[in-house]
Amino acid sequence: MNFIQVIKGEVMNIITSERFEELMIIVIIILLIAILIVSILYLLKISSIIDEGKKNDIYEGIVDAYLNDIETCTIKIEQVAINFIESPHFRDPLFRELMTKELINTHHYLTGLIKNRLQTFYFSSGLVNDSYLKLKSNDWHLQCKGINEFSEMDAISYYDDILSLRFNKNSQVRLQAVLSLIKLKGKNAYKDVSNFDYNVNRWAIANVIELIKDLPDNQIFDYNLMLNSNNDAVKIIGISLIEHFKLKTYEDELNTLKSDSVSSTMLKLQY
Amino acid sequence: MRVLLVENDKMIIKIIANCLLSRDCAVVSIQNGYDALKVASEEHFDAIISNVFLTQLSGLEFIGKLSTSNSLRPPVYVISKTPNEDLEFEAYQLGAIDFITIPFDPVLLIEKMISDQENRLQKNAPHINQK
Repeated sequence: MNFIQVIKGEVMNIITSERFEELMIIVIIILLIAILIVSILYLLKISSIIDEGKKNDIYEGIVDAYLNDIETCTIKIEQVAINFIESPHFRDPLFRELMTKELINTHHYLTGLIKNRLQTFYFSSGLVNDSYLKLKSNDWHLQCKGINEFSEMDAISYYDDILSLRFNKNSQVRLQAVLSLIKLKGKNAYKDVSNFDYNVNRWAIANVIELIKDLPDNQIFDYNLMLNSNNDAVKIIGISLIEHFKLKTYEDELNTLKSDSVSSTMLKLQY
Repeated sequence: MRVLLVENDKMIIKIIANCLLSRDCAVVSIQNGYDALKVASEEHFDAIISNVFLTQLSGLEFIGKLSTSNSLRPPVYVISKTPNEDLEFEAYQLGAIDFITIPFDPVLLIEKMISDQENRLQKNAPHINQK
C-alpha cells in the first residue's frame, strides 16, 4: 500500500510541478521522431518491393530472350551461356535466380535435344554454382532448394554432395535428399537410401512411393531388398509398390510380413 | 506450314511456338476450344496441336466437333500432361495422328509434323497430275 502511495505522490508532484509542460513536449517530440523513423523505414521497404517487382518485370523479358535462344537451337549453346555471363545483369542474384527458376520450369516439360541444351546452359553459365552454394548453406530452406535444383536439372555429378545430406538433422532436408537421390539414379540409388535408422513419417513415405511409381525402370526394382530392410518405412514402401504394380512373385514375402506385422505398429497400420 | 496451337499452358505455348518459328512455320495460338473451333473453321491450317484438357470445350470434344464441321480437316496432334490410355484411345478413334505425353521432345514433334505434311503433299500430287 505504501509503495503505491509513494508512486501516486511522485506522479502528482510531476504533474503539478513547473517542469511538467517541458517534459510533455520532450515526450511528444520523441514520439513524433519515432513515428517519422517507422514511416521512413516502411516507405523504404515498400519502394524496395516495388523496385524488385519492376526489376522482375524487366528480367522476365530478358530471361525469355535467353530461353528463346536455347529453344530455337539456332545459336550454339556455349555462345548463349557466354552472352548470359557477359550480360550486365549477371551479377544480380535476383536475375540468376529467375533464370534458374525458368530453366527448371522449362526442363520439366522436355526430353531430347532442347532438354540437353537447357542442362548444358545450366552448367556452362555457372548457375550450377548458385545451386551448390544453396546446398552448402546453413538454412534448411535453401538447402532443400539447392538439392531440388540439382535433381530437376539431372546434375548427377553432384550426387555425392546430396548423399551427404541424407542424414541431415532436418527432416525436410533428409526427405528432399532421399527423393533427389532416387530421381537422379533410380534403382541404383536404393543402396544409398535404404540404410537409415531414423523414423520416417507417412507423408515422406507417400512422397517416395509417388516418385518411384513415376520412374521409368520402377518395375524392375529388386523389392526383396526393400522387404528385408531393417527399417519399417522401407518395408512399407516395398509393400505399397508391389501392391501398386500387382507383382505376383512377391506373394510369399508379403504373407510372411503380414504375419510378422503384429510386432510393428507401423506395419500393422499398413495391413 | 501454318499451325493452330490450342493450348492453355503458357510454358507449352512458348516452347512449341519457339520451335515452330525457328523452322519458319507460322503459328496461331488459341487458349480455349470454342475459339479454336471458330478459327479452325474460318482459316486454313496445315496442322493442329491441341491439349487434351482445355477450358469450356475439352480437347477431345474440340477434335470431335472439328471432324464433323470440316471435311478437309488438318491432321491433329494431341498433347496430354499425364499418360491416359482411355483418352489416348479416344483421341485415335477421333482421328488424331499422335498422342504426345509431357515430357515431350518438341523438335521431334515438329520434324514429324513437317514430314507428315510432305507425305500428304506427295500423296495428293498424282491426283492433281491425273486431273
